[in-house]
Amino acid sequence: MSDSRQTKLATFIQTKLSKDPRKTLDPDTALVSSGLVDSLSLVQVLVFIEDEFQVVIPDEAATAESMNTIRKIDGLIDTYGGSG
Amino acid sequence: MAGPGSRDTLQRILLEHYARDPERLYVRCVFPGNREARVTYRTLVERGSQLAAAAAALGARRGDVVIVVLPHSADLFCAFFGAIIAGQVPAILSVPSFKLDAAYYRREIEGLLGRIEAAVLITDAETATRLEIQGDTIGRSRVLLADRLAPASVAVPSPESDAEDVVLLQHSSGSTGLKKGVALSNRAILDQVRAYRDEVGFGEGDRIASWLPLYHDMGLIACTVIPALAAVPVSALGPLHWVTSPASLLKLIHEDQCTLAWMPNFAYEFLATRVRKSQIGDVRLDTMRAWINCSEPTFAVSHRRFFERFAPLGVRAETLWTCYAAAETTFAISQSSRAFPARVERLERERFLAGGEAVPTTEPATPAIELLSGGRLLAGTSVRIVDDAGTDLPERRVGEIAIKSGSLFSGYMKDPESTAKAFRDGWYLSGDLGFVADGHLFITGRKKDLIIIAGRNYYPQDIERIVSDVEGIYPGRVVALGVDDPALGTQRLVVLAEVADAALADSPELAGAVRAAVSAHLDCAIDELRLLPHMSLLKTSSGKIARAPNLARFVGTGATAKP
Repeated sequence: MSDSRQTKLATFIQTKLSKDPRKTLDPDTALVSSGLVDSLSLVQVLVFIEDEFQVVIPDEAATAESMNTIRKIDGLIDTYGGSG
Repeated sequence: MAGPGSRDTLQRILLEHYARDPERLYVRCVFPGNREARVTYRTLVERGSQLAAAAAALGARRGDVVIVVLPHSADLFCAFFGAIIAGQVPAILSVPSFKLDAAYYRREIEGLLGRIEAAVLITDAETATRLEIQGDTIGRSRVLLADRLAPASVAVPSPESDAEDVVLLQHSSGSTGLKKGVALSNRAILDQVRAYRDEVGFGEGDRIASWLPLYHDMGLIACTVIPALAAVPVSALGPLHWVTSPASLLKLIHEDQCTLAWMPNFAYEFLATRVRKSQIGDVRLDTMRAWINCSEPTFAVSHRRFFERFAPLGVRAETLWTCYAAAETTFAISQSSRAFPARVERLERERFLAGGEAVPTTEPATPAIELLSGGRLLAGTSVRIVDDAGTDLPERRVGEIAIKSGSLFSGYMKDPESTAKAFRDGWYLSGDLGFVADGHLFITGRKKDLIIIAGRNYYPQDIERIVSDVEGIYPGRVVALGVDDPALGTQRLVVLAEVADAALADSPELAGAVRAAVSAHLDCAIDELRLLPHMSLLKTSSGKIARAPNLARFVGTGATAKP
């Protein structure tokens, strides 16, 4: 787990992908199930992770459910050996 | 396949393929992590017959409806075709995603099962647990868990059905509660297979690539039923896999040398903008002879962006085709192709929006809108363009598209009232607006409000009802609107809602609750939400809250891309 990684993810998602950019995202804010992030946007999260943390999350691990919060996404980055 | 008037049925044709070449591949299901399941005609017929026999043991007789709610899997295809072979009437519904409120979905599906008197629900253990199904009943229907049924051999039924027998249901748009089961006969489906095969020209060497869900006509008819009957193999990804990994479709095309794909318009933009070079390596797309854009309004600009992005990988401009289809006509009504390319027209904006006149202009200074045609009518299909009184309109005048074809549905299941309303003098009233010019059919919008987002249909009244029920929203004072977004190649969902208490107009909590409710009930995200003080929304003279004027007022007239 990494606080700075979570902050980077939160900033990216809040400013680029959230349907309500006013809403601050904490590590456990539901992203997809709350309707804040469209599941079509998740692919942009994956690209961001690849560029920012040098890790590719494999298809079988990247689902709307497994990426529903910043903490969960951060956990995926850990699991697949990302930097940061 | 024999010609019209023959005693052919889906059952007979499937069993002929099975008898002639049982090891022939029907579908290769591909899953994340390079897993796959290959379904041959033997698997399809034998496993399918086993599932149908298990459903029969639970009470599904010939002609009874069997609802299939399964994720992308071999059993999804087997359960569907097994029911058809046994003379049961299958219908595929979407699996509730993790976002959906399970209790709500359960109530909705239980209501639907009761209304269409479905005998059996075929699902899997995971879905049954989510829906809190106790034992093997839901309402008055029985439940069969496909994944708990270990493979075993059973007798394959022999053909018995007739041309006019209803063989399957496909569901029209709307939330589960409002879904209408479109009943299709052997005659209608086989007429569609013949007409569509002639237009698209299925042949040896063809192979379909698909990521489409099977609860929608494009995934079900074009990418599942027609290929099974025409013996064209399919390479299929699950829709949830494709959404987080759009590149996987392109890799699949490359690996399996696919030649045909059907996609809604947004997918062209999505692929063009979201696939990275590093994800596809040396993928080539030269084998593709048609990318068929269907099921939501088609935009020439989306084709251009797709072509520019993928031409270096082998996509050719003449392979970008269009199709206009409806569940009620089995599938296609019109189609463009290499032989009859889609036409792009620039039309004078004012005359089009104000008078419904399609007047081409070449004058760059004239404000114009650009439309892409849906091609020419399939053989055996006729359309009339009519005004509200049912009077025929001339070429280049926009009106409702009324359709006659050999592929027309038999009616909405257990819903004679809706069936009667759908026809006038034997013509099916599509609810779509369009015009005809030089043999091209152009689709310009919807007569009734319908929001189409990324190829999925939503009735605004469903969304409005759900938002209305959120505490803090003024009940009944809500409008939901679809606004065309050319950059996304689909519509954005805009919701305008009045608040019960002026202090709530800026409430982030209330906004969050509204978004969460729509996500949990309909599995879709609101793109733009405005919480407004009470009495802000405009009403018509009859006191109803009207959608279009509120769209113009709060989102701006520029947003109304449709007349």
